[in-house]
Amino acid sequence: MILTATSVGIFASIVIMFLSLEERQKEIDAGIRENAVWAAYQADREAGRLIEAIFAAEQSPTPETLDALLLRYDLLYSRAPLLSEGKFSVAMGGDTAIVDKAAEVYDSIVSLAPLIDGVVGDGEAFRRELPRLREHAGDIRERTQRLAQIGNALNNQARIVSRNQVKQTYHRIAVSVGILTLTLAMIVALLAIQLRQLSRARQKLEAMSERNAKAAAEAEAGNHAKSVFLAAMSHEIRTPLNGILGTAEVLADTPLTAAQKQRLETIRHSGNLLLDVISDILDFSKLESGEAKAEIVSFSLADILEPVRSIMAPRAEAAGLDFDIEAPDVSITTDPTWIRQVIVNLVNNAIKFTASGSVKVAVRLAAADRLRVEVRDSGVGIGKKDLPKLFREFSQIDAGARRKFGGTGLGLVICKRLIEALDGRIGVETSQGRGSCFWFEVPAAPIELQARTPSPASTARAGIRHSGRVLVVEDNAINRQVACDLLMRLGVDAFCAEDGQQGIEAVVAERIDLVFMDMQMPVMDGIAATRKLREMGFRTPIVGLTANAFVSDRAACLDAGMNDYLSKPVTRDKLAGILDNWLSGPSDTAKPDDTAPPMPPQPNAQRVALEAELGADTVANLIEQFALNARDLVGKIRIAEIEGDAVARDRALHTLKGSALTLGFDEIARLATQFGGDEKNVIDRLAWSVEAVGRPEEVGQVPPSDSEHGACGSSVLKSSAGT
Amino acid sequence: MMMRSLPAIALGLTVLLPNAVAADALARPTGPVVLTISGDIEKTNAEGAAEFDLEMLEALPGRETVIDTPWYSGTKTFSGPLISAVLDAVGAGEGALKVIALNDYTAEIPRDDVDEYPVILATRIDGERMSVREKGPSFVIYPFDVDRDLYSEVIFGRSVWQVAAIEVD
Repeated sequence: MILTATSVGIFASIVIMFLSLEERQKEIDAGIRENAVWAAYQADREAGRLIEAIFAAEQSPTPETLDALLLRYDLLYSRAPLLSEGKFSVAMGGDTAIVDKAAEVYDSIVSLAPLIDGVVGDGEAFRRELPRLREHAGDIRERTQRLAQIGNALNNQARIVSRNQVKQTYHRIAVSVGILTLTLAMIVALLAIQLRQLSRARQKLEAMSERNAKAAAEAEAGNHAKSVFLAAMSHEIRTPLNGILGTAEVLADTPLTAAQKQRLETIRHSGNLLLDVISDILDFSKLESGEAKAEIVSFSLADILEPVRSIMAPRAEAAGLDFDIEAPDVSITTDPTWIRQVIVNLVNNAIKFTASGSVKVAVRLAAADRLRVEVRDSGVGIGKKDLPKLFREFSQIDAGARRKFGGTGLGLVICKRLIEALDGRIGVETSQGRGSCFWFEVPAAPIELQARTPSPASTARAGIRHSGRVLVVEDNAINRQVACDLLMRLGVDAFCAEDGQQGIEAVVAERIDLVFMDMQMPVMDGIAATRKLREMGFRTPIVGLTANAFVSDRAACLDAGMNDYLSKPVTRDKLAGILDNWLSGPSDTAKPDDTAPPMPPQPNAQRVALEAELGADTVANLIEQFALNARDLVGKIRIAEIEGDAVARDRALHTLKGSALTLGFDEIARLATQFGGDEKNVIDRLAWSVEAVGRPEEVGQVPPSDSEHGACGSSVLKSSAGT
Repeated sequence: MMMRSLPAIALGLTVLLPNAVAADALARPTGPVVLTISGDIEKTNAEGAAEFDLEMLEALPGRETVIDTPWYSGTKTFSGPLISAVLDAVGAGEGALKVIALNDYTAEIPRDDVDEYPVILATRIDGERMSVREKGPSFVIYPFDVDRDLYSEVIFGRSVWQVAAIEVD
């Protein structure tokens, strides 16, 4: 900008200088005239010649010499006007001294004219006047000499001045041109620099966008890899954890000392915490990778709130807090799983951070199509400065809280993601020391009012005894064991198979009321096995066991012909829910579907007598032995039955009957004797009864590990696989 | 004063130039001789030369040139024969002209100047004849009115006044 202005200014000044130079040149043009100095010299020369002519006339005063003298004077005279006229003065720069001198010369030349004109034609008079003429001519000569000298000097001065002026002008022009050139050079340089910068910037931009694209692709790939890794890891961790927790649950049902119970409780608590953490991470990674998709369905609000109540009420009670849920009886339309997860998360947080008082869940309709859920606690509240951290990844409001309460700090982040994925809003109203109210709103249209129905007595669920024959197809031994154990605790007959192929064989061979089918298994996976079973015409309900609960997995389950799915880890509550739905109704009387109730074996007089004789400990040991043997025997009976080996079957039945009678298990003995008519039914009941021997409430001292042989029947199925 | 000086010059010239043989086609001057042309010429009226008086010159095709000059103040009207006409009158060759003044000042005029431009040998200024004191009897006048570029020192040098003779190379 400055450069441009400078160059314009310099250019203008150069133009002005050239114009002035041009003007000067015009003056010079106009002033072209016969050189004034030359005129003076000429006059001087003519004056000299006149003097010569006078001398010549004086020496020989002939008419010729006189004529020559006359011509000389005329020539001199003709020059006089050149000296007197204005142009001479202009040519001499208007110098008054020289103009005066020139005027004097003119006057002296012209003043001689009367004298000469007076004697022309009169030779005598002419001659007489010659001395006067000489004197006068000498005077003229003197003056012309002086004039020529002064004129020459002035001319030289003027030349120098003029030369200097021209020199100065050219110097100025040269300087201006120099500066202008420099300016132009700088402008060109600047332009070049700008161009280079531009091209460099463009290159940089290109490189950057390339790098960014690459980085984005890498980050995406990395993120995806991370999500997959997390999902895989959490799955891998959950599988054994599932085993730990399930086993702990089973263990909790056995008689334990107070110290053992306490330690077991620690195991369960830690395991549950770990499970929460892993679930959080898995949820978060699924949300991050975008794999989690909302499943918008219409459902009753009570369907999600009751489980929340059943899960959270005990926890609140354990923490010494009042817990309450208020909700209208409506059916709403959104993702039930996510809504429940968010509520559970918020309630969990509230319970964690509330030392005393209450945690209340209030559900209402914020608008005709919006559901608003508020979880209000009477806890410590949250300071203003901590609010921004609340919904941020991996942040808990203080490190102390993390140590005290554990957790990943992902809970609220997951909630936020879930709610936002449902086009909802989540927030908190709080102040330090006054408790907090976490709330969220989601669009839930259409919302319909529902007639109040008695909520399922979920709390009573634990007490319900189910009945039926349930097959667990699962390759992981621990998961299989835990599922079987839990199922048996729920009162059903559990069978196991290690892969899809064995599962199919079991369904074909046995009367199975319900199948739990793992998805991923060697030999044949759950999907393929389900398809095959459906093709074979079996209508048995099949429930998929999915490890990561991805929407796609669930869809695959249902597509393959499964009736339901259950996401791992398998818990007693989940299993109970499935059994509620898919077994032919709970039966508190716990009877199989036939008329003969498999009575829980009752110790009879025989047992009492035995104990009196041998002591309770010994009898307990015997029963323990019997439990093992009886299950083996039932297995053998099954094998023999399948293989059609009546001899082996009868031998086993006989042994079983003998032992049962010895130890006072009349029912078992009766069933063993009864064998023959409706064998299949009998053997199931026999198995059930034998299984019941392992139950702690029944037998007391039988360690749970023993139950894995008989009850699950896996050995039976394994051997049957060969046929 | 002027009237007096003219006969004086004429006299001087007559004295200086010996009687010439009359040429065929060129008349003898009847008045004082004011111009003598010598050199490469075909027609003469004296020995090896052509002599002119003012009458003869003014009888030739001429021109009026109205111009500013460095030698006079203000615009003057010069009139006289075209030099080319004078040269034609003497059957001059193609050579350059050497113009000689009364005071022996000599200037060379290229033939192109007189061929291309109407250069005159002025015998009158503002209608009046010129005495020697008035730079007469004749004055080489370039047509500054026709071409302003002629207004230069070189041409000023060729603008001989008090012309006495012309030599054709």
